[in-house]
Amino acid sequence: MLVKIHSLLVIVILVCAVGCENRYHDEQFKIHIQQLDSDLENRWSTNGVVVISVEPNGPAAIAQLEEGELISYVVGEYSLGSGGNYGRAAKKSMHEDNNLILRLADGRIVRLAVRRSGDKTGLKVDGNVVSEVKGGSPAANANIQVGDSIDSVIDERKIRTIGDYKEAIEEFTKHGSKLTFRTTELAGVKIAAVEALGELGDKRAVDPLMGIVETSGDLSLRKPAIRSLARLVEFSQSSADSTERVQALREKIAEGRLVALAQKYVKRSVEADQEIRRTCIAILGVLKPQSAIEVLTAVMEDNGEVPGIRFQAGLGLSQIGADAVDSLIAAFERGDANVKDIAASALGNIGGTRSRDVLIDALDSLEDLTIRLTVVDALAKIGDAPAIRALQSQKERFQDESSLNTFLNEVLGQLEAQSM
Amino acid sequence: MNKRLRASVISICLAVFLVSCGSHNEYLSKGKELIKSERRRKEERAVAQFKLAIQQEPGNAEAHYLLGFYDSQEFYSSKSSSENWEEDWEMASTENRGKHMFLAYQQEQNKYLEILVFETLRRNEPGVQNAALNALKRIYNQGDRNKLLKSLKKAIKSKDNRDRHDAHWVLAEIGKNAPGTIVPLLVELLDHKRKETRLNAVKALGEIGDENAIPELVKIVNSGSAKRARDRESPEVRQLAVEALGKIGGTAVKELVEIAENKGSSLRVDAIQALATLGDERAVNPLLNALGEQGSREVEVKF
Repeated sequence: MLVKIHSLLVIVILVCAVGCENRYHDEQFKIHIQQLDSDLENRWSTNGVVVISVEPNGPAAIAQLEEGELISYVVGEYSLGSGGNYGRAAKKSMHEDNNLILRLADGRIVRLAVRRSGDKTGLKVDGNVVSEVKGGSPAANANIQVGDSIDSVIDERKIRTIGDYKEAIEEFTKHGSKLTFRTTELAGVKIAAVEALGELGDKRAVDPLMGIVETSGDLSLRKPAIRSLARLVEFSQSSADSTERVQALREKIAEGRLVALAQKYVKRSVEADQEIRRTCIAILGVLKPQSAIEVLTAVMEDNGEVPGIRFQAGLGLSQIGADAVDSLIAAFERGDANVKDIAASALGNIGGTRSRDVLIDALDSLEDLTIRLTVVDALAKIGDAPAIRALQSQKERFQDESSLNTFLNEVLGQLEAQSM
Repeated sequence: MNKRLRASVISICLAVFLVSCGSHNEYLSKGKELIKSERRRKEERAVAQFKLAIQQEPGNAEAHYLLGFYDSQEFYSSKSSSENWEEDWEMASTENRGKHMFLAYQQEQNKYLEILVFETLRRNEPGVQNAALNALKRIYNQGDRNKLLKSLKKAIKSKDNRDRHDAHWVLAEIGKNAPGTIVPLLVELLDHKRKETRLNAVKALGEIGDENAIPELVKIVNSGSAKRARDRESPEVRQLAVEALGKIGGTAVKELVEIAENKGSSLRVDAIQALATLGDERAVNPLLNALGEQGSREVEVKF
């Protein structure tokens, strides 16, 4: 009786020790793992256990498994070369997921999926050589042929709990020939981090974000990265703060690497993504470097570029201001209708006597109605006495052209109202 | 014997009823009729009647309540013919409407406490709700505080979502000035059996922004990896707990950083987003580390 109670107690303690813990120390591979939040699977379609720490010089450390990685699958292989039993290995492989995965001697890896547990794959294996393939079976569909030899059977185990992990490790280290951890990156974390760094206004974020734009192959990360850089630039220029942190950010941006990056990735030949090119223009528009005049003018004149981006390049040049006037006048004079339209608008935004005179001259010589409307609008924006005089003389000249005349009346009316 | 007792009870009730009818206030009845009618500008005209009712009978609870309920600054403007529109306009401020509701409460405490918490707050008009909040704040400061809190607790535990939401709002607003009383009350509700009640308690704690709530909120966030399902708080509540930590800010930044760094947490993204809005520089390095994390891959281990 006493013995019975005693053994019951031992069992209770054992269950508690094993069952209540959400951490586990794997003494063989020398890592500590922990259960994931239970709702990770629902929210982020992620399952697994997380590596809490990796002990130096252990098998996991040598394999360069890192702290923080999520082990979602443990994948084992049963070798058939040295007398492994195909039947037993296949049964294990198909257990739970109804998938039989084979590594063939010719290097192919084939996955045979059956609908229900117990369904046949249509494969007979003698030793490690395929002896029969049933027509129409999953094996036949996967193009396995009689005589193919199988190196190993692969068993993928989905890991949801520490129990799953322990079971898989025990199985593969005992009976398997190879063991691989398949890890999952938690979707959304890096994107959220990139976006957050745009909000924090800290100079330490600049280089890593530029690094992502330059080297990451992941567009879903590069886009938020350039956006965050634009946010930092905007913040550094608009913030009224003169704290050390804002100052440091300003100095970091003034180093010029970011301007160089924007000037590089604004080009269609370098960057395929429109949003990134647009954001580069926005960055240049805020920082207004003289060095950007050439590249923005080129974008404006690029016939293959999206019209919206060309127009935005014109706006960028407007933001740079007086320094861009020469380049804009040159583009206006040599360009086609589209370029003239954008350049005239930009010249109107910038203003000044030189812009004005070029626009007044153009009013007399231009044939294209759309551009003329843009020029009228630009001159109205400048709105000084010579500009108004020029517009008035046009009114007399184009009495017959109704649309231009209506617009002129409107514009002159507004100018009059302003001057009153 | 029994019959006689019943008869006497009935007659006493009748007598009381008749006496109360005796203090019948004509303006009040007229105002109430107007409200029920389909007439133009009925509320504005009713309000004028309620004011007269109070003039006649300064202690009339119902007239005070209805005036607080229906008066509105929208009724009064420089365009109106009335000369003292500015005075009327001032009288219709949230502050003054709340005061009238509170005066009603002072006359009949239990009745109007119940009405304020379970009826007035439900009215989907900011003007009315704000006036009720003002009255409830006055009750907290000058009235029967214990009864008020009991009533708000009952409301936040209610089956009805509107009651829970309204109660969370009032508790949060009162808690901003009196965290010492309200925060412990809300923390106690974090163990309540109804999930929606816990949810509203968490929200209110965030809105109050008191750092004393941080440890309890962290406990909720971290319960996600508990071994036993019954120890785990639901994902919605946990997510709101992270949001609440973000609203509290201050020393909660350290906790948010820990959540953001916990690779097993389902709330890393939420924590990072909360840190983004807080703008604290302690978040920078952990976020940079997150950028350096390994992507999905395969690692072969030799054994």
